[in-house]
Amino acid sequence: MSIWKYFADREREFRECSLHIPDDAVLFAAEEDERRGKIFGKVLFDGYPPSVYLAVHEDVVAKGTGFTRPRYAYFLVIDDCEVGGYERHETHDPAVHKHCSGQKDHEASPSRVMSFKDAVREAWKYVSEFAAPLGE
Amino acid sequence: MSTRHYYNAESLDRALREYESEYGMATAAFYERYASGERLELPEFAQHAWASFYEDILRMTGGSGIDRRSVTTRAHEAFACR
Repeated sequence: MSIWKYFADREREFRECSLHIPDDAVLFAAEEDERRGKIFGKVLFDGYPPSVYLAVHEDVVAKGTGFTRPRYAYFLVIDDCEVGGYERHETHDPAVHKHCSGQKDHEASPSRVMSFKDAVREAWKYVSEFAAPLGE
Repeated sequence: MSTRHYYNAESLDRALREYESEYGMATAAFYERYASGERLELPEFAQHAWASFYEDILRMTGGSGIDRRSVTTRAHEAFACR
């Protein structure tokens, strides 16, 4: 699989998850050798204003015939408030963790490795409950 | 995806400058605190991305990082050494 195919698959997942990329935003980019790349930026929730978004960062590295995500971060933001998110970063202990206990700011707790779709599914629960949709 | 985009150490360094400007801290100072596990009063996503980009730059430059002196300064130094 090429890195461009990986990116195209993720772009399709955005649509399947009722997300969309802001006009003119560039979220996908590769290193020159095309064995590493990044997804970085905001994706918006269909039916909600731009102040409701998922901040996405993925480092993508070729492994075997596919790609892995050695680092990722998916954070839900509603009206400038970082509600919470999932993260994988080797610098942290534990490397795979979440920031969404709701108990106090900047609290991290262990998490399983989250797929992008699982992270979005979790984010949608909060968006549906706490964010104001367009037209309200 | 019609247009293919690429990044390199220089373009990632521009993102670091944005973070430095936004949060008023040099990248090296931020990273030292981040890597030590200190809880910083910055958005978690920004911390993650800032540290990731910095780690990428170090990897891509063999650990040396980006020389931020101006091209003119570097050219002058190179010229003066001849």
